[in-house]
Amino acid sequence: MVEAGSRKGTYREITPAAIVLGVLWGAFMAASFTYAGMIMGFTSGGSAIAAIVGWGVLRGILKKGTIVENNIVQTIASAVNISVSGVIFTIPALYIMGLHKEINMLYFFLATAAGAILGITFIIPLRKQMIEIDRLRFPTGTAVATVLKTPGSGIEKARLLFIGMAVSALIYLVQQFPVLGLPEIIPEYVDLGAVLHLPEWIDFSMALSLMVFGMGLITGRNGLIVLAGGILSYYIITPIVKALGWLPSDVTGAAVSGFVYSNMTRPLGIGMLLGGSIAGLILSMPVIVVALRSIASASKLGTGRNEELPIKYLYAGIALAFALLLIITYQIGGLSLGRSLLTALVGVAWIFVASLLVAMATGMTDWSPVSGLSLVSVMILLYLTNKQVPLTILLGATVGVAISGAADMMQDLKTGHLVGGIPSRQQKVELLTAWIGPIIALTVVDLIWRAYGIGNETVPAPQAMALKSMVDAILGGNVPVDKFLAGGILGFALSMSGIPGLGVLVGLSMYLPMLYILPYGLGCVVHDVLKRKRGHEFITEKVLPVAAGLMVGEAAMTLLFAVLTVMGVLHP
Amino acid sequence: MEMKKLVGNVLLTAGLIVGAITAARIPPMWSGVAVSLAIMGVGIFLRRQGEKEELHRAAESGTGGVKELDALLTDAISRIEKIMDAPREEVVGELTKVLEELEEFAEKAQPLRIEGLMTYGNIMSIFSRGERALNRAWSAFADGYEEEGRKYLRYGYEDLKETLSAVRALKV
Repeated sequence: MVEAGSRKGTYREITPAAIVLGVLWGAFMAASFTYAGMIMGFTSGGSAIAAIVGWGVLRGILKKGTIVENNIVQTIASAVNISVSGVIFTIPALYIMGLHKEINMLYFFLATAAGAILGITFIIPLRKQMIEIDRLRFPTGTAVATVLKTPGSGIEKARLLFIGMAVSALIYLVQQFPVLGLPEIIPEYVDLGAVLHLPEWIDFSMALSLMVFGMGLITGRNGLIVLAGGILSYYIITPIVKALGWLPSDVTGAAVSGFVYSNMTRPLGIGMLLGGSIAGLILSMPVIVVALRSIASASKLGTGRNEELPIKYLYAGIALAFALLLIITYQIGGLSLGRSLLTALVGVAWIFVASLLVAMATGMTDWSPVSGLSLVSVMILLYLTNKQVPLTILLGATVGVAISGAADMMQDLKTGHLVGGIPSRQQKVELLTAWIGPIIALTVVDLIWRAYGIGNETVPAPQAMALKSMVDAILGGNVPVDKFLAGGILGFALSMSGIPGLGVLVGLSMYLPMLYILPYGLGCVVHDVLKRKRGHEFITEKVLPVAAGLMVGEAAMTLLFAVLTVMGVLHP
Repeated sequence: MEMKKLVGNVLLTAGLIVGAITAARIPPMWSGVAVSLAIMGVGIFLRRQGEKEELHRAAESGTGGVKELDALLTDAISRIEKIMDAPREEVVGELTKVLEELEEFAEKAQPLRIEGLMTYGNIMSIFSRGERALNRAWSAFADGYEEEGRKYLRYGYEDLKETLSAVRALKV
């Protein structure tokens, strides 16, 4: 499908059309997902959908779009949209607790803007390390690149992509029949344990999600470690713990698996994630040094190919975000200058570690352990702020926006690498537009509060309620610090094994519900078997487009349902 | 799989299982965690040694390591040389194959980490810059921007040659 005729002039990349389209589409997704997320409890990145919309407008209407220009569209759109999750997980909790009036709206904006800046600036050196040197897979980024390259990839790849999209969208639509008032035909998950007559304390349920299966198909071998860790967690630890009588006597039957997950393996998993990523950071230091040197020396390239954002942006971004955090902490918390400085300093350092962790996890598997990290963030921040809940939640929003932004930016940069986008250009547009998302999300949250209230039947805001429970648990001293510590030690040791990111991968497998590990693991197994039998080329030419289609189809339907919810057509 | 690495993997897995079970108890059984760490430590030592020996053996026999990486890069470079002035449609098809070959290079270069992260990081840094340039060349050709495509094809070619020199300088 290479187009006939040669085009003259500069290769279109950052153009007014790309910026306007990216901001408008990102704002549309941000508003939709903010509202829908507060009702349904989840959001979506939307990069792939933005890429498809980009093709429709740039090529379909304007007749002049290019692959790298569309890459800019999806980069901006997802940057504007992604901060939604960081905001709706935290800020509505302040409304629910009636604490939002204690803080001027300007500080809401400053806190989330600081997060948006930090999330992006921290990934400048990490981009080189994770994408160019460690070669992490970033399944969503890979899928989006497949979508972007479709017009030039040939009819066969385009056909496979669209088949994948159609099948995935159709299955998701049929699964949502009950929401539409129609009879259930395909459930959202199957209880394989019941089918196989296994004891009810063995959790063997599998989500029927082609998107998750597609993520596994793209991930391949790395994901097998997640599957193995899931088996360890659910089918080795759970029976042994039960057999050893380590469970409270009132926990029986189907409750066993849930108890072990909530009180034992999940906190262990969070600890492993942290320990594993800290070990990864230590082990990667030489590589990060190489990455930083490479960025610094990019300007010396004789060919005029300075394609890296200068390192001064990193320093300036950190300084600005640090100053914002310091002002917020000092003004709102009424803490001493020393304590405010410490809070801002630890906050920035923690955001770096958390951004690294989230970027590593999404790079290796596509899963992002945001809720677990939020728990740790709240724990650290409550201690630092002398248990001031409003300030803690506000700074929690900073962390949430930063880490979700870092993961998204890294996915976008992976896409950029695969289509030949210039990193500095992507980073610049992201820095210039990422602050728009928090304003939209904060405005929508405030409008919802005025119209319906938050934390009720109409707007349950499940994620914010979860954060409120976390804060209550921490204030009540009910935090499994010993599990975090034990998991951290094990995760640290695992990551020293020489298998890159092993501690993070095993931690992630203990942190995730088996419901999603199974379809994901199945995708990884299929990838590995096909690679052995049909070779690397088959994976690139056939499997990748289908897998990308499976991810994009379900993601598109998620957005559609979010929009229908906002319009009041659906009442989930 | 080499015996040392196999034993290392078994010990690492066993240590993890023991460690995870003992850590799962409320409160954790710290003595069990300590024992598991010792087992994991021995496992890590053996698997790292085994991996290093495996890499050196592969390099000596020519079935992996530097010789294989050299061959992959040399082939990719000669393919690019042939399409430098070829028509656009032909370049896109051939570049697709070159990029797949480069993915294989990246995968097979992973064990070089054992030889030192700085060296590995330097090689992959140059290689990835070239790979990204070739990806951009592919996009530009596919979009019909031939001038940009040829410019980045040249950049990618130069970076791959630089990578080849760096690989040949290795002592594996």
